[in-house]
Amino acid sequence: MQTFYFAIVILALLAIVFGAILGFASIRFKVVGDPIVDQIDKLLPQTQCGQCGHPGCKPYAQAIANGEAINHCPPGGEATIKALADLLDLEAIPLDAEHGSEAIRTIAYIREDECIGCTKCIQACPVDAILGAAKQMHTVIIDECTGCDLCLDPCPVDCIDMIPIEVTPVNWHWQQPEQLIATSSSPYSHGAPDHA
Amino acid sequence: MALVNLSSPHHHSLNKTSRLMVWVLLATLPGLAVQSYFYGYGTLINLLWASFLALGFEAIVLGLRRRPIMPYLTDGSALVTAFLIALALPPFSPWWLTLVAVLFSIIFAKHLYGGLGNNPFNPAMVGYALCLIAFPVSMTQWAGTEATLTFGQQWQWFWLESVTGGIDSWTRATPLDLMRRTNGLTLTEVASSNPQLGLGLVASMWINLAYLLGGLILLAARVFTWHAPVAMLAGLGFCAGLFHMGEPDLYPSASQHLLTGATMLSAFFIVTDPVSGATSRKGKLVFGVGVGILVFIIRSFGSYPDAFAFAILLMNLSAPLIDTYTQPKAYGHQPKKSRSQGEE
Amino acid sequence: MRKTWNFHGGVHPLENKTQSNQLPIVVMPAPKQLVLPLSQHMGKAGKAVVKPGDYVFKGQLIASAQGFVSANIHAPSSGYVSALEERTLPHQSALSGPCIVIDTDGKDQWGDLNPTIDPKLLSKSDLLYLIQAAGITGMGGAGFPGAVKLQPKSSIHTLIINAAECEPYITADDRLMREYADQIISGIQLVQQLLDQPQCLIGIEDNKPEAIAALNHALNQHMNIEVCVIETKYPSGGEKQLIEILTGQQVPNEGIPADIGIVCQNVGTVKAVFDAIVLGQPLITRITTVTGKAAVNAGNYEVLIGTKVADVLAFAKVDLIKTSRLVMGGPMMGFTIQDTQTPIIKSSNCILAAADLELATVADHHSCIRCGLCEVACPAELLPQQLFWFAKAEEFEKAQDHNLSDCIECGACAWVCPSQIPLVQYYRYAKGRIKALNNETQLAELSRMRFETREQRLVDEKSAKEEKRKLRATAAAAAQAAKRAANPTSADPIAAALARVNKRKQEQQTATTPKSPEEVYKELKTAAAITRTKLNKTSKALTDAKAQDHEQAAGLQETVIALTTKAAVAQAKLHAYETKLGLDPEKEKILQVSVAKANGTIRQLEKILATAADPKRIEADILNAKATHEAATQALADHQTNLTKKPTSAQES
Ligand code: SF4
Ligand code: SF4
Ligand code: SF4
Ligand code: SF4
Repeated sequence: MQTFYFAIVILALLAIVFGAILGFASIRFKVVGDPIVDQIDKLLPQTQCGQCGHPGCKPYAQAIANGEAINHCPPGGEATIKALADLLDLEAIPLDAEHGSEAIRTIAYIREDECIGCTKCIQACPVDAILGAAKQMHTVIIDECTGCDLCLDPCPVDCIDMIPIEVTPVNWHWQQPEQLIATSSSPYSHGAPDHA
Repeated sequence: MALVNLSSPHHHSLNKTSRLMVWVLLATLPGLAVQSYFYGYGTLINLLWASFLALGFEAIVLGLRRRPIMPYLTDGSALVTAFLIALALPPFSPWWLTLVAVLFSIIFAKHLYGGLGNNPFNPAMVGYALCLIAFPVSMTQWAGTEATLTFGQQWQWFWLESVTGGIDSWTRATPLDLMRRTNGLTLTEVASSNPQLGLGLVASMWINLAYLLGGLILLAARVFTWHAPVAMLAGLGFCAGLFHMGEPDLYPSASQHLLTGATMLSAFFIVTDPVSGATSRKGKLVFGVGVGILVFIIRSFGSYPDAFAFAILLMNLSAPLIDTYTQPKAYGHQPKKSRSQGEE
Repeated sequence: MRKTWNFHGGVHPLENKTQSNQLPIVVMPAPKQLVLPLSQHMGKAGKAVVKPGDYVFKGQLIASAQGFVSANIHAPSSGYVSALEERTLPHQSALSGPCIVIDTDGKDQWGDLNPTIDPKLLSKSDLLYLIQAAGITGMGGAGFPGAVKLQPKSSIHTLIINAAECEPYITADDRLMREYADQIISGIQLVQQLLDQPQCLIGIEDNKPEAIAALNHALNQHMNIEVCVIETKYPSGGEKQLIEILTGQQVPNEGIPADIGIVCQNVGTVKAVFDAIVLGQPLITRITTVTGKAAVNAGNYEVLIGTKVADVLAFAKVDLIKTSRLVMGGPMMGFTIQDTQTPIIKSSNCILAAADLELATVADHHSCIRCGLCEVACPAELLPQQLFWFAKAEEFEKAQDHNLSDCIECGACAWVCPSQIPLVQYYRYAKGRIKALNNETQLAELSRMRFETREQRLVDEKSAKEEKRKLRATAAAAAQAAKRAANPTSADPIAAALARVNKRKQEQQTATTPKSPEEVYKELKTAAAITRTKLNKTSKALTDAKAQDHEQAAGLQETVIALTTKAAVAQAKLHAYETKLGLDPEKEKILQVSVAKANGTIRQLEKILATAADPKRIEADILNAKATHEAATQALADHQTNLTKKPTSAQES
């Protein structure tokens, strides 16, 4: 009988202690939430390319909040899907191929000699990343271009190229080593850095 | 010669996982010898059998998981698991008991979780605990110390579970068991009515001292740090001492707790298992104390002959939580107070 | 003896220093060609102030610092600048960057030097100016511009000179101290003068007895400088670790030593300060250790900055056949180079030409057994095994919570790891990814803001237009009313009824707010563009998939077919609408092209004009072309006004 009471007392004590810890944690680490649409919008890549079928990321965020699938954004790719799945407590599903496939990030580059200054690309650019006025040659502000491709089509003389972002010693970094033992034949493979 | 492209450091110490494991294996030898001296060949046979099984299962599972076999097999971790199981099981365990324990530890507790380094529980303890729950009778058949079986008798028992004259005349309850099931008698009365308790305690003490020696060797070889074992012994000793002071007739003394059962074996060979324990030094202290207290509680109030398997598994469960709360302070991160003063 | 403290962790790798520290420093003659990267350090690249073809004297400024964290570069020898081009940089990535290439003429002729006779009279700002002008950067490893650290915001009570040289193999500072102890002490005094005479502690590991003796000998009577001999333990030469050893204080995280009144400089740097101020020589040479089993003449060499590694190796008789790994820097933190054309820069303290098996073999690594040895070794007091776990699982947020950013990449953890996990590479990967992700988030935030401003702008523009239209409408109505007032007979009942009907119609229209034709047109256009883009991308993916004989190909095929129809439909809709509105994008394109062509002709002609023998005729041509251009532009403008008119008329119909 004594053991029995002892067990009950111990359990009660444990319950109180852990309850207190949990309670403390919930107050201490409380997150003040944005509206869900804004939270979703924050996770989208903001490329504003419309590949998801919406005229920009915010509308797609709205659509997701209303129940649209989370796998329609190719620029975001798997990472975005995973983040969205985490946020919304859904299962991460593969990217929907109908909307495109994940590609390396590029930025637009206008061959300025050929630009006729038609301003069409300015109108198309969702983030105002193109500078220029009517009949002046145009140029892309590379730091602001999201690589959405939307300026390519409207250009009447096809003078816009999408080029991959350049790797420099500043943005270069190591890749993960190859996983664990003997999964590769080359003895040096886990050190070979990839240019990315 | 092609120039390679590698990340620094380009230098490496001669330390290897297998070196650590070999140290652990060697350090069990004094304990093994003393245990065999008191209880006969059972442990030895068990050990060989368990090692054979562990390596075999490991190889099979690695094959099934399409992992390279040799590099993993030679890291020695399977052998360590086998040794621990064999040392923890009673000397009179039959072949199938060891088989179940090893099978369960290697396949379920280790590889189903992703192999060495990913197992949340100590594999040997999972196997041991399973047997304890499933085959309580076999798990309490501890050998007596007055006379031991000959190698032939032991061999026969091991495979056939029969021995001339029946096993009953050879088995004894462990001292821990005797001290727990007192049937209302005080400890002094138990001791005087049961001469075996005294003998058992002496054997236990020598075995524990041998494991302590092995543990000190490992400490000296820097295979692990002192934190977890010392904390566990302190936790156990403190609780035992406290209760013994209150009710000396009901609770054995601290030294009896520290030197019976598998106390030293678990303190130096199991609590120190880095994979399933806590990470930081502070965390290891908490982990060790936790194991010590749980061992005392289960020994004193539970109904199992020894407690360390459950205590360790329970603490394995809480290791991630301990890690979260015992993250050490990194260089330059002052305690909050002084930092804010510095800013003012 | 001064009290010293200990720092957490640390390891004792084999020192391997005797191979290179036995012989005096050898001066290497100027090589045929020097390559000077414009960015010698982690800061901003300098700006070249010479052109190809220029003759430069030794010590002449060839690139000037741009901004705060940047340093001047001087010609290390005399000769002609032969190129300004991209060359391989001394960086782990082996990428190339802009460099000044100098073909030396072998005369090694100095330009004007301005030695200071009595430096004691120099003011602080003069000293600082001279140090900056000489292009001095940290000579230890990071290569941070020296002047930056020498103008701290807070007052400094301790100057720490880093002479620990804790990395195995490297002996450049050791030899430097043995041979230039006097210059080093004078350099220290100059720095003390600049920092208001703080006490100075020289931290040096006890494995360099000769250097310690030399320094003590040179020191003699200077009371405010002290040589502190510390235990040999890697990485005692880490700035933060050395500060803790010598003062017992820790640099606050995210802070700099100056926050606790300390400045730390490398011995090489103070020697360079001496050269710059007393001799007037800018930083153009450095002592570099060449060592490793593949080096026959292992030792220390005084080389010109910009000397190619290949030249240095040849001079030290390194057997390149035997070398399998070339490390710039020490074995614990240095980086491998693959191109021997890489130049020596101001922070290159060692070239380690390792023979096979001399350094750690590239063993395959096992799983982490959480043995905790790394934690015991980590001088930053981190939990390397947890960091490894997070980096591997790409849980970057958790890695940051565990202070990944405090990791100094010293490699102690990887050195002890029994599973031989390349831990540091994991951390570097995680750090790089975190940086990239942060950039991306920033960019995304920026894009989002720009997108929102643009949306807002479009809405504003539209409402402004609407406003104008309304104004016009009321004005027209007022005019009508005035007309009616002037001519009351026209106010017949039929007209009134018609007006009522019109009004109701209008009300209905506003009630349902139909989209304006411009809007509809734009929407259709976007839809068409989007489907087209999608189609293009999927077809591309399809070709890729086909090329790889991918299982996905079949699925993609279907998508492509579906999208083709979609695109066709969208295009047809757009086209129908265009015809309805009377638009003709094809024509517009043609017109635009003709404008562009005319423009091109003009530019071409103008170019020719500059060199032409017959300017009159070309000028006439230009005039002609300009006329064509004018006409084309006019046609285009006409067409465009048509466009803007048409929808309005469409609205009325
Ligand atoms: S597909 Fe393009 S527009 Fe849609 S959410 Fe992704 S980036 Fe934004
Ligand atoms: S410049 Fe082109 S590719 Fe870049 S954001 Fe604007 S429309 Fe998109
Ligand atoms: S030293 Fe290696 S194996 Fe040990 S805990 Fe650290 S990372 Fe894991
Ligand atoms: S590399 Fe980073 S984690 Fe490893 S020991 Fe050095 S500071 Fe610690």
